[in-house]
Amino acid sequence: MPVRTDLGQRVELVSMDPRCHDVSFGLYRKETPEGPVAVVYSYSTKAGTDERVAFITAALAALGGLELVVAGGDQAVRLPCRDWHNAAMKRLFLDCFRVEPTGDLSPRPLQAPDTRSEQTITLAPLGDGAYRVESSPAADGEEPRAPAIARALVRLVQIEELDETTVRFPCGRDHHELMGLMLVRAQNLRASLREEELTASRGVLTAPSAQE
Amino acid sequence: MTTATMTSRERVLAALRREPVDRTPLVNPTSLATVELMDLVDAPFPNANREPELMARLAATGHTELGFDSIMPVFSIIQESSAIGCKIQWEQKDNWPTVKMTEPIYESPSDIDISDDWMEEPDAQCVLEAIRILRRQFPDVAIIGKTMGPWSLGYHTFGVERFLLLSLDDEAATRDVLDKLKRITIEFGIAQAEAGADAVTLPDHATGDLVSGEYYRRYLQELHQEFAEEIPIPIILHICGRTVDRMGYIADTGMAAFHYDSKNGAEESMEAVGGKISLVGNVNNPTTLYSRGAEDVKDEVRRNLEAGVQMVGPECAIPLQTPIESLRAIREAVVEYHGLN
Repeated sequence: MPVRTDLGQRVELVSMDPRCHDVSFGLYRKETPEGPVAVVYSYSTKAGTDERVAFITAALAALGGLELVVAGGDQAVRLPCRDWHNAAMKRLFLDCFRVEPTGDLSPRPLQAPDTRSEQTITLAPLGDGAYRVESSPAADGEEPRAPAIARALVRLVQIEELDETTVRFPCGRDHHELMGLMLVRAQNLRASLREEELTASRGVLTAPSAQE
Repeated sequence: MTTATMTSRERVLAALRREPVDRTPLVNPTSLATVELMDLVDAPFPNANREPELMARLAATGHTELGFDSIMPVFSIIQESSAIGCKIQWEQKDNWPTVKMTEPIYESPSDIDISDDWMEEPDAQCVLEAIRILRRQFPDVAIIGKTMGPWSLGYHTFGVERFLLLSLDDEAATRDVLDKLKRITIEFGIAQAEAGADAVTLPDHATGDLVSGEYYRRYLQELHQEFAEEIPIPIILHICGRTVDRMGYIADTGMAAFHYDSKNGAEESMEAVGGKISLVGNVNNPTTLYSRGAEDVKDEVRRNLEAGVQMVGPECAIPLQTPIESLRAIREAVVEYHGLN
């Protein structure tokens, strides 16, 4: 099997999937006349790899609110806005590998209890791709968490900040499923970024003088 | 459009001698392995560092899938250190094996005792057998081996801190260490030549961040001249980091080529070596190849071609997660530049 040259640009990689023989899976952005689509691909021919690709593709569609399409013979998914939100797509892809193969693929709600306070965080859709981050009343002396969550969403999803609690997708379309998923991560921004740094540094060979 | 008239092997060997070529060769003095290529040929790390068939199969993808003119099977920098008894962290598919330098095997020069049959150890034999396999399978492709220099072996066997402190405090003892360890470099280089390698990469990590150009001249230049005389095939010296301050010294060693880092500009490097040694490089790994697109890769390749750099390729062993399309862009840029079909 030769290297595929028609997959487009790889935007994210899971280099070892423990649920599938430590095989690597890439998320590729493929351009089509109808806009960019995402293709999950692995070069491995080990048993179960095709099924794993199918599962991750289905998880992308279900958890991210993406549309299933066929592009150049590949099963693919695309955002309903026909645009591309790179940071969100990367995080969605990584999150799909955390789901148990028999697990729940229902989209996450736009409300979640905050992991760092007693507050409940809600993303209120305002239409045209905008969301206001709301937090339930804070206990005495406790800061409302909504502004921090909004800032975290801006960094994680790379969306626009309209004011300290309002964010918006630049495409002007709603993405409730993506926002529900990102709400969970936004509550612990530091851990998400640290995980990203660790992943990026893995597999880079350093000179002996730079090794720890 | 024109057509290439040389084989990959002829092209690389000519470039190492700074002779005319039909197009600039794509050369990888260090690893091109990625996790996706490991999947493609079912040859994952760490086993592809320890089993010759897997090592050869993974290395061959650099030519068959990425279009490089060379094949370099020695992905890591630990094979001979493992063979002489260093403790190795073998890691998994998605990370590099490393020497456990916090558990050094030597404390003083008098501890160095290398057995006569150290190359019979499996991790040295693996390299030699992989080269033999590749030589048989790819008679028209340049096969490049790797033999580590004594400065790098000093780090591996003494630990980085202890070895650097020794070099500051005791020049005679440092020279003693280098003289004892150089045997490994020479013997492994000769053995790889006999196994069929066309050239060897010689990493000697007197890197720009820790070791000055003057240090290079004082401790390593003569040794490198000796390697060029003793090892019967062209040597490609590899040193990471900013190294323009020592390129003039390197150019006088008699080695065939210097594999240079993206921290050095192509034009200033060509000027520094003054036509006395070929350059190979220097597409940036962590930023350009790993995380930027094909167009940025092509820009860096073109900068090298326009400066007259004799061989193009990544600056060092590429990150294992590097996208395949970025690596293929190196060849596309060379073919486009030369107007070849």
